[in-house]
Amino acid sequence: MFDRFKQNAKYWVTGKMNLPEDVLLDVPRLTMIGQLHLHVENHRGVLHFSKELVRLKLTYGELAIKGHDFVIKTILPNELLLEGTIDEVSYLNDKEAGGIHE
Amino acid sequence: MSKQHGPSDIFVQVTGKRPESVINDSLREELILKNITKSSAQTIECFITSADLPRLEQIAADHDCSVEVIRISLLEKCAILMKKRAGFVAGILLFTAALILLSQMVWKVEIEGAQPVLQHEIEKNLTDMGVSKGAFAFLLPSPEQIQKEILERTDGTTWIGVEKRGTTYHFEVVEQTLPEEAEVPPPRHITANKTAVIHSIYAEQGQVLVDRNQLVHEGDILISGFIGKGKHARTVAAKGEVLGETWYKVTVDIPVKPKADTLTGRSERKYILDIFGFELPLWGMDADEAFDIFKKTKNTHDAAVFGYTLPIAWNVETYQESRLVNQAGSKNDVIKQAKKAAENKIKSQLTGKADIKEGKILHEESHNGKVKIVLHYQVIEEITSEVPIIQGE
Repeated sequence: MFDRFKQNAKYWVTGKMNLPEDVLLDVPRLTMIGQLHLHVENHRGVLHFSKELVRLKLTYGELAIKGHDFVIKTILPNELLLEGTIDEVSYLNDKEAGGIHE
Repeated sequence: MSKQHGPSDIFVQVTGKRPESVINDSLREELILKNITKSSAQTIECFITSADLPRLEQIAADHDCSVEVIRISLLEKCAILMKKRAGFVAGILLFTAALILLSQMVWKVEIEGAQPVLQHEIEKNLTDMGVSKGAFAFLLPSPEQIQKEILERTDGTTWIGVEKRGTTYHFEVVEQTLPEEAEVPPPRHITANKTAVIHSIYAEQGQVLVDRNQLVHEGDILISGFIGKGKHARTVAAKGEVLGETWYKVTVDIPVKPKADTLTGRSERKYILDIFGFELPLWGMDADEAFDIFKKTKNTHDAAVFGYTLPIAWNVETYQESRLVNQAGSKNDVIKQAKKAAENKIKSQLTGKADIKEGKILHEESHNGKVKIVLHYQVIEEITSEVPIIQGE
């Protein structure tokens, strides 16, 4: 209940004060270079990793990256650099369902 | 981005049911995994620092996974190779050590500007101080201190400059020079070296035996080296200046009518091109046959480009007609000329301090266009010569 209130307050502040969302909200920041690289900041861990699919845990929901020949070049506590051929990046937003895995 | 692993990274394979959880736990433990790839459903491969391997194994064991090292790091490979080639490595180290050690040794001590005796003394002092061939330069004091000490130890030097040039110590010595003692000449007389009339006499040391206006002949003693009387008698080196009047007779022959070369004003020119030393006449080829008597002048113009002289030159030869003219001179002129010639003749004979006092014409006669004049000169000159006194005779 308090978490929900805090979250709403953060949305309101970023919206009204014109602040960049990734600073206040716990959302990932993705930087993609063509199909070759994907740089993910603010992730919360690896759920699944294979050559064709990477699923990353986020604060709210998860991120699925599809493609082929994936290699995790570097992985740091909240930063990840993925290399390979990226076909698709999608959010699986099931926070209503309380979709925190693991 | 393909080779992000360093020399200490090892290549490992983690096999288990859920290798992703190993990755997540490694993140939490701040283990850095690089270039993670999944080779099969239950296997991941990655690079980690060899120091982190025990921690990875611990994490993997917690998740029922096994860790297998596939490739060891570059450093470990080098270490193995070095162990295999231990002798070679030892040789390199030994060589480097020897090189550094030998370059710190004194190989040469140079001493410049000293006489052999002094040089030997300086060498001895330096050896006492430790500056010798084979000493270690880093054990020696600084050049400034060496300079101070060697100056204190060595007598007879004004200054010693010390300079270290690589493995050589260079000493520059300035010796003390004491003023030389004046040379004491042996006892002697001063005698006349030619017949003359004494004009003036100045004795610095010795006893004067002649007067002014006295006629002296060659070999006469002017200033004696014997001084004192009775038991005070002794010999000294007579010293002084005696000027005497001497006489010279000079005969001069000169022509009454001297001849002179004059130009008539007529001239011809010849132009020559000089290529590599080969002379090619271009214009005025018969200029040199135009006159019987001529004066030839040659002007060379070198061709030069940007300061470089080309082997091509432009020569201009000028032929100027000339003719011999007899110059008629008066009798006075002839005599003046004759006197001048005579004076030059005398001056070339006289040496040292000498003055021409007077010149007189004794005789003159003309003969075959020539004048023969005999002149008499009175000259005042130094007439001294030194004769040593030989004792015990």
